[in-house]
Amino acid sequence: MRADDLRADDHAAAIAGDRASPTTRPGDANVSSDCVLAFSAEPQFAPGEMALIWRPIMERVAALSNCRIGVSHARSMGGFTDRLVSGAPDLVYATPYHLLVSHRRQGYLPLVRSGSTMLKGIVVVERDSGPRDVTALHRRTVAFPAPGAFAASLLTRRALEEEHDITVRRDYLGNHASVYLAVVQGIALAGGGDNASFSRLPERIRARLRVVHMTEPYAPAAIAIHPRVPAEDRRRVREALLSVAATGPALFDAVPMPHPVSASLADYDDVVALGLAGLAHPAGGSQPGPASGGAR
Amino acid sequence: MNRRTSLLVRMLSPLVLGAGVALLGLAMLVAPQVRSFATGKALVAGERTLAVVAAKLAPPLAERRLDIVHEMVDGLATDRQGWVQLRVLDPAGRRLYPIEAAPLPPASDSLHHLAETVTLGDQALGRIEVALDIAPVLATANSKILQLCLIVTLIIGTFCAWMTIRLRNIVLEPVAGLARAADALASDGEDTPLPKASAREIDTLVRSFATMRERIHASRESALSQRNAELSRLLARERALRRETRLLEQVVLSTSAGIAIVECVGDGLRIRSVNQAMTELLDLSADLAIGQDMMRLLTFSSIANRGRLRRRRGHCAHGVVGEAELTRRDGSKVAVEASTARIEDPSEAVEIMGIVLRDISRAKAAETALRAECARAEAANRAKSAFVRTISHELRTPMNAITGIADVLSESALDAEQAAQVETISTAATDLVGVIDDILDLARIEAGRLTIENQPFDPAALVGRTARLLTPLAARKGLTLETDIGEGLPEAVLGDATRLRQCLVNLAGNAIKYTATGSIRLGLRRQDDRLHFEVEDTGPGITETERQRVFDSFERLERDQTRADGAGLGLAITRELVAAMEGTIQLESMPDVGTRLTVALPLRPAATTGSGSARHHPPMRRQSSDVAVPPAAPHRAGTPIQPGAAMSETDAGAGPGGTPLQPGPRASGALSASDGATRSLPGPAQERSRPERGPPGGRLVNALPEDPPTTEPRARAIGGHGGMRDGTGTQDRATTLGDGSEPTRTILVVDDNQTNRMVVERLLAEPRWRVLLASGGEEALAIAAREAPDLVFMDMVMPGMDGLETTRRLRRAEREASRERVPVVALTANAMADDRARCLDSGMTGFLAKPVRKATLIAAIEDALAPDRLKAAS
Repeated sequence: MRADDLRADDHAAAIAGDRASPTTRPGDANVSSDCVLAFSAEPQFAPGEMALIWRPIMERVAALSNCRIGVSHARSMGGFTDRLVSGAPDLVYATPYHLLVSHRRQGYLPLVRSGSTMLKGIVVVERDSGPRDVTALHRRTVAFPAPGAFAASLLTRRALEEEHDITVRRDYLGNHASVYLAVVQGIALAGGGDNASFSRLPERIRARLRVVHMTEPYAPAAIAIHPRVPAEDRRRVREALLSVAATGPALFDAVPMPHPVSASLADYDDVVALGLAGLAHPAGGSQPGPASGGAR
Repeated sequence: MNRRTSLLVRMLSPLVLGAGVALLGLAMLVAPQVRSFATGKALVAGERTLAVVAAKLAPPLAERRLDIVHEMVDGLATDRQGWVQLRVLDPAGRRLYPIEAAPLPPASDSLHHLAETVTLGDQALGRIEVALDIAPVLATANSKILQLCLIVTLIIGTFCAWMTIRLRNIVLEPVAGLARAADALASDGEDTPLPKASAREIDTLVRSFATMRERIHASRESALSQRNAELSRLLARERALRRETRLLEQVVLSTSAGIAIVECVGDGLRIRSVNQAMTELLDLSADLAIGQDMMRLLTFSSIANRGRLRRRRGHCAHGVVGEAELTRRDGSKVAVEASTARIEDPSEAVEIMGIVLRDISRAKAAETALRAECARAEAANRAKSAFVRTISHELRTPMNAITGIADVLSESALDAEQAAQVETISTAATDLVGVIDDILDLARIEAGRLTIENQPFDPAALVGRTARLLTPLAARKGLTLETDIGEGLPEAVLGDATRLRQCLVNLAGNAIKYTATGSIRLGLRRQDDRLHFEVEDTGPGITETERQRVFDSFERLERDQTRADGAGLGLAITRELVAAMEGTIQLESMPDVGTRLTVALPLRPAATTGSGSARHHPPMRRQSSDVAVPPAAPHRAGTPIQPGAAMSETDAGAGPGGTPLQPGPRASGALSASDGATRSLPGPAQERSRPERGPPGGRLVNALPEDPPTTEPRARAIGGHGGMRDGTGTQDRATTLGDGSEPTRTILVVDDNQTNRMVVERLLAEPRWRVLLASGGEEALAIAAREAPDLVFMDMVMPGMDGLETTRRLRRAEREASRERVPVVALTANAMADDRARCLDSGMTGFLAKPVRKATLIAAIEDALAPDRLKAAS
């Protein structure tokens, strides 16, 4: 982990800690004392909001799975990527690209994913003052969450370059929410995001944005688990997630991960098929790689 | 109740007012400070909080994490009280927060703008602006102030309530009880019980009231008894007044003066009532008199009085007193004296006054008779004066011949017996002149024509000169004459030095005359505001019987009838003179011991040019005048001196005896004496009126006859050099000067009396003079035109052209011929003061009264012919 990420995590934890305990303990006495999991989600939103989304889910999962689950989110995409590559968290929420990268590096295995929504990359501009066509973005600066953001960065950038032959200057702002805000505030002319995070924006922000480009749909983000977690625990966690989704679908709507279903690596073949750098299909032996050219 | 409320309000109002002022001061002075303090505190707290927020926002801004910035600021904005608006800007001023453009509301007293720059290290990352609403803070401060005011008000209100209760119990209730008691006392009702007081002062008041009530009860009883007594006294007085009024009415009715009460209506005085005397004066009954106009009946002799009666129409004159004529019914006139008195009576519709008429017919008749008698007396007095003047002239004319011939004879070659006889003649003549002068003095005094001068003189010097004058006389009798000048005398006083010296000479002369052995003392001292001139002798004294007559005219002591000289007029004249000078004369005498006469005159200090007004004499008490008398003033031995005789000095003029002393020209007051031999003893009244310390100027004119001959050199014989002429001719028989030591002077003597011409010619029979004689005015003018004399002696009364007319014509001729004025000296037996004035007015330059002595004549010549006099005369 880089030093700035540590400082950023501490800062985020300090703010989030005001509202939620960093560690969720199971209330059941049958919980195995060996099942201790560390959860971290891809920081698409602000830390406080992240805590609000994931804490109730993890509390219930812990209760159902008899595992103690500690929640700790990185403040930025870079920090999250570093954690993921190093295999620090036991349980993660990651977009398809990070899922595949983590699988390739650490063997993370998907547990659940949305069963009703596909992931699409979008390009947004300010509703009134933004350009009407993506062609106007040629050689202009466009904000992105991070170089490795699958839909927001990789898909949208690939679509602009390949479909519209547009070259843009990239400006990485840490996460999706920052990108949207930067566009709304006029800091950035346009920004890259995805349909999942866009749909979850507050209406007052979303109403001031206009989507000028949307990519093809791909497999959504998934909750994955490190292979060092015993299989029994992995099973209980998956069941627990599904059980929570069944009893409280609204909790997963907020992720957003509506209608969760069990996931497998095969579900992400379309992503692998994109041939992104650093990626490889576990089954097919292809190695998906990270997107290149993500200058910050 | 109102009074109670008023007292409460008066006592509590200062407290309430003070509380109001305190509250107002609290609101106006303290409240702003409290609000300012609260505002400052809120701003400091806001700035501190903003600095903390800025520090927290630095990392997300450095990472450009707008989501974190928004999340943090959203949380802050909702938590922080008073931050109504917050903005986060990037270094370029672009808004990072909030999403919607929202400018900060305008700043005001309750809304302040705060700003903080967000930095990380030296890098400026952005800026936070906050609109801080401190209205709640101010509201809190105002609430605290209000609470404070309420607490103060509550405290004061509680105190006022407490004070009200205390005042009611301690002051108001007892005072109300006292008021009820006072009302009862004032209305003479029954006494009410007095309240009980808890406060010492109120208790004292209650006790004092109780004492006062007791005293009032006592004083009421006393006042009642006094009022009864006063009433009785007033009744008695009224009865007495009525009785006196009746008496006055009887007096009015029975008085001989006519009294009328008149109404002042218009210009008339309508009679309302009269007394009996008035009806008799008017010769009218009372019924007829009433209604008459008094103004028609009265005719005032004075128009002014009648005018005063009519001065104001419809008004009564008061105090008008005058003589008038009253017209009776039968037309006859009665002289009356009328007086008026306005009667002040407000009840009268018109002014009224009383008129009193007194019949003065008899008094007027007596007055008429008295006036006739006075006229006769005045005519007799004038005849007497004329007689005296004639007698004086007729006596002096032959006396001039007698004294002149005696002088001539005394200078001739005589044997001892003849010389003694001539001396007797001269002495007798001198005495006779003195008697004549005294008679004239007395006549003048009795005629009321005595004039007292008021000029400054030195009283001590006057006494000294008097002593020196009389010393030779005293020495001849073997008496010592001393002076005794007291201390503290003024240097100059106002008065008539000549008349005073005349008095002193009279008194001292008498003392010398009646004293056989011993001494005479002339004293002067000051006692209070009077000067005392004393003459004391060691003579035989005066008995009590003699004192009664000693100041009467022509009275002499019987025992001296055969021995003393004089006519006995000296003391009588002295008494009159002293009285005229507003002084007194006192006589103290003891037979065989001596007599002291004291003349006391009022002291009137005169302004002096010296450093002080008081004289400080050297210690020369009872100094013998023998030492003081200068040797150059010898008195001829054996010459009797009349009482009152005075010696002329170099600076003192000699006056004619008996001549009224009128204020004459100051320049004509001194007789010149060419040398010591010319000093003479003038008569007692021959002192000229002159200032004692006046300038020595004006020596030419000497109007008065000379006194007994002085010690004139007797070796020179008459006739040796003078020329003679007959009495009527104009032939010049003048001789010329033989020795040629001095020029011969031509002297023209004009006199209708041959004897007088001869006497003067013989007296001037010396080589230095050439004497021309003229018997009348026309002859004199002719001689003067021809001979140009150096001096003219001019008689005054001459047949035909008299001396006055002759002199006037002489002066006119001199002016016409442009000749120098020749000195003309009157030589006349008319010795009255007005005679001298007439002579001087005619142009004469000098005046000599007959009889004239040789020394006087020579002195007059030398004075007139002195170079400066000649120059002055020209």
